[in-house]
Amino acid sequence: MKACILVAVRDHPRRIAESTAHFPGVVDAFPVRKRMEVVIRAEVRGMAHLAELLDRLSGLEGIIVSETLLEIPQVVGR
Amino acid sequence: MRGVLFVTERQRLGHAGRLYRKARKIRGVVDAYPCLGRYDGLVFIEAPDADHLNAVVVAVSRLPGVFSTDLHVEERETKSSSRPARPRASNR
Repeated sequence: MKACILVAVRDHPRRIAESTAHFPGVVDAFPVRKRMEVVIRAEVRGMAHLAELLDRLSGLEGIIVSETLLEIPQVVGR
Repeated sequence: MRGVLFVTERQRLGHAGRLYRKARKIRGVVDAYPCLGRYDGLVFIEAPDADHLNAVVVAVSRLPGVFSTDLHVEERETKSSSRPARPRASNR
């Protein structure tokens, strides 16, 4: 399951993006300068894995809020 | 140069996957899929420069079914890239 996690941070978005890069499931992470400050591209095994990832993320210093966009799985036959 | 393009579709007709399959064929698109949340879909882009990035954005926005796009580009590291920190107290 693919997910995109958008993160608002207090400061140092690049440092936070870099520290999430080694989290299991994170494919890519980079700072942006818009409504949110960090974009995390993830591929997780399921909701439990995603919850674990979000839990680790929320433990980082400076995180204000995050928003997760979940992939809609492909429907067979479409 | 990395970026993510948030896509809002004209209408969800149940075949949104087709749009993202077409998007994945565009050079510079590393991944694309429909999603649940604020937006209808995501297109991840890697381009060597701003011109290529622009070309990918234009190509995606012209795909049938795309209503609007919102581009978030990776912030490059420069000496002057510091920005004011968000306030500590927030009710967002």
